[in-house]
Amino acid sequence: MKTAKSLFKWLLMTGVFSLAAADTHLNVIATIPDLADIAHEIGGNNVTVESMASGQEDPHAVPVRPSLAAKLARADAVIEVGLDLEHGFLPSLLEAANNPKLRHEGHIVASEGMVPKEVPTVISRAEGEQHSEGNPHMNVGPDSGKRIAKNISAKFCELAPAHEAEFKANLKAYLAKIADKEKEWKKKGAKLKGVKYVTYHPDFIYFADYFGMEPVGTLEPKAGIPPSASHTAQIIKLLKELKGTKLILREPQYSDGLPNEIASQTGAKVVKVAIMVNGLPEAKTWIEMIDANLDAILKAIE
Amino acid sequence: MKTKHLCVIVLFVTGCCCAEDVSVQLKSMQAQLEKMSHTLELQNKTIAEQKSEIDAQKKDLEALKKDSPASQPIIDDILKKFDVLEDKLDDRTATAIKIASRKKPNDLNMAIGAAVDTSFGYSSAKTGDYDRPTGADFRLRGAELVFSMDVDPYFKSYMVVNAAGDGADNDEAKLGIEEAAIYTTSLSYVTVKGGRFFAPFGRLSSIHDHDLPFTTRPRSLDTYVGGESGGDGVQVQALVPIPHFLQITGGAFNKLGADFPLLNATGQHRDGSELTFFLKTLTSFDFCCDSTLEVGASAIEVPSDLIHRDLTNLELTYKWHPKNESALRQKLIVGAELMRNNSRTEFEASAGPPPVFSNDRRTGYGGYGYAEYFHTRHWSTGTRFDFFQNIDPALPTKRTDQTYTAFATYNFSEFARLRVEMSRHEYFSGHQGNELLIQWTAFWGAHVHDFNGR
Repeated sequence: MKTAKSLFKWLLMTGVFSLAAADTHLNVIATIPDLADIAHEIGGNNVTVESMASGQEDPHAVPVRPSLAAKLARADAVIEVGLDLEHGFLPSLLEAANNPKLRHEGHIVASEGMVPKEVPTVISRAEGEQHSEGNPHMNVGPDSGKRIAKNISAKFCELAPAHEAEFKANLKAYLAKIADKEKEWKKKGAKLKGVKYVTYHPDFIYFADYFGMEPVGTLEPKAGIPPSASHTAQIIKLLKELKGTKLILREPQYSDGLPNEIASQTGAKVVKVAIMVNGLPEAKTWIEMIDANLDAILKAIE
Repeated sequence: MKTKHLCVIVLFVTGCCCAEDVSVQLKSMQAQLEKMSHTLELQNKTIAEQKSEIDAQKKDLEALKKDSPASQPIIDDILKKFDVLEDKLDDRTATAIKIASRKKPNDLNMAIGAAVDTSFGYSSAKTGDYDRPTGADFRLRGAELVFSMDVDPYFKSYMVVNAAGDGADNDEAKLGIEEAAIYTTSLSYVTVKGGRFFAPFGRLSSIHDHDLPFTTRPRSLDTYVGGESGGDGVQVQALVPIPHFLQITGGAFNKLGADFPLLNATGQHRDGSELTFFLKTLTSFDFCCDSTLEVGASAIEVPSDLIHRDLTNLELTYKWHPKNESALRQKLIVGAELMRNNSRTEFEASAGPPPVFSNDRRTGYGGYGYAEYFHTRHWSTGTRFDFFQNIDPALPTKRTDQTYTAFATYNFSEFARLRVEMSRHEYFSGHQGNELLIQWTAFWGAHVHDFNGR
């Protein structure tokens, strides 16, 4: 009888403690590894973060695996870039997950408050797979980290007020880390000013604008539309006419066949760049991704 | 006569004045909009200027710090203050953007999407062997409108209006409500849905024709389920709260299968035993990081002895989505459904009226298997094998109908598609027939990828 009572007490105590712990620990799902990395920096040990994408995929088309719905169903928060970047997979998974928390208080839009670039002046499907609110690949920009971190921190403080002080301290430390890095990036990246480049998809503008690089076109004639022979010929002509350093920036998810072919005809250099964390082997964190992209481009122009 | 003329002149003048008023209002609104946009542009410019000024000051201070190490602590302090100032500027900009991007009243209008599905087809089948018109012709397969919207914090609703070609009526596209349902959004792990909708029986029965991976619905599904698994009813879908994905769905419907009549054989509403009950479990397993296997089991039951229907389904879907270099949307999907159909009544209502009831329950097996490989984001090719045993009481013996299909799809973009499908049919009658279909489909407006169509 005594043993049974002790066991009951123990169960009760562990139950109460585990419930208390569960209340303050946040279980978070991020759509891309960049957001998972920054959320981990802010949340520290008070947050468990997992990313839906591995970093190798097309960020618009992460495979809709049912296991992701099960994870979302138990999550306290979901973090997305927003601006329709995830429209191909997140809405359906959220619907399957049936988690009301993620519809409102637990829904974090990392791009909120940032100035979107390339906001279309004409909204039409004739212009390709448009994002009406602007180019959604904000995570690639070196100046996006601060805003993403602030947005995540603000929501974490609302969701787990018990850890507010820790979240704010982590945010401060992370912003300082980014500020230090920004000094380094600006110094190193000064050489990129005026460098002309072509990408496969319009997903590099936030990085390019930061360093003053000049986009001259994309291999896709319009976003999401496959390269046609006539458009490829135009790009080749354009690159041939350009003077100075010219680059073809290749995203990991696209084949290198066409970029290499164009490079061989125009003298442009092909550089593989990451558009998400883990897109390059050395890009394990968001800061490392910016470092890796910057180093790869600098290496190509030197 | 004079009065009439006077009236016309008065109306004309009033009309002109009103038109002029509207035009003036529009012009004024346009001017206001331009003014606002100009103000916003100026504000952005000012913010950018302030930022670059801060940057320049910081650069000067950094340089000063190097020249006079003694003043380093004071300069560091000033730099910190600049950082705080920059942060505040960033926050103010962010707040302004948040306010500017607030939803406008028009955003409360429902999302509207449409799909147009057309084809050219040739079939060498004999009339009677085939459930669609034979010969060669162009065809409007479907013109669909989808409306959807959040009703309030607790419910979402949608409606699908489709005009689909009706072979029994000169193949004219007949307008009908395919789906109109309301479902909950605020219950954890559970969704309750009511109205007219497609129950997720098996893998493909709940998918609209134009969203199928092939042009034609497998004849086994068409015959045993009766087209899409549509019906009027209520359904509860629950995601079991465990780390593993396990979804259980149950519901009651007046009927399941687009080809079944809404009322019972006597033209009355059904009683309890004539309702169709539905149950499904679905789970999935991830292998490493690029393969997924989905396994599901579904059952449809009509308890009434007179119109007994007992249809069970086992579905398997394997997806391989490699994450290696340059593998954009290169993937493989292998899917199969196997069904057991035990029925006392005819299962294709279009064969009546009047419906023919058999005295004995007959059991038949049917199903399909297909594989589709996506070479690139835009190209895919695949093959399909489909079979089902006849349990139609009108036919004296149980025979098997088989179809071998090959298909190729080209997606011009996410919103336009061209598909070619070739099939070889072996019918109950022993006849054989070939079929060629060229299908082109376009999607407009709001376009949603739902979980069932994953």
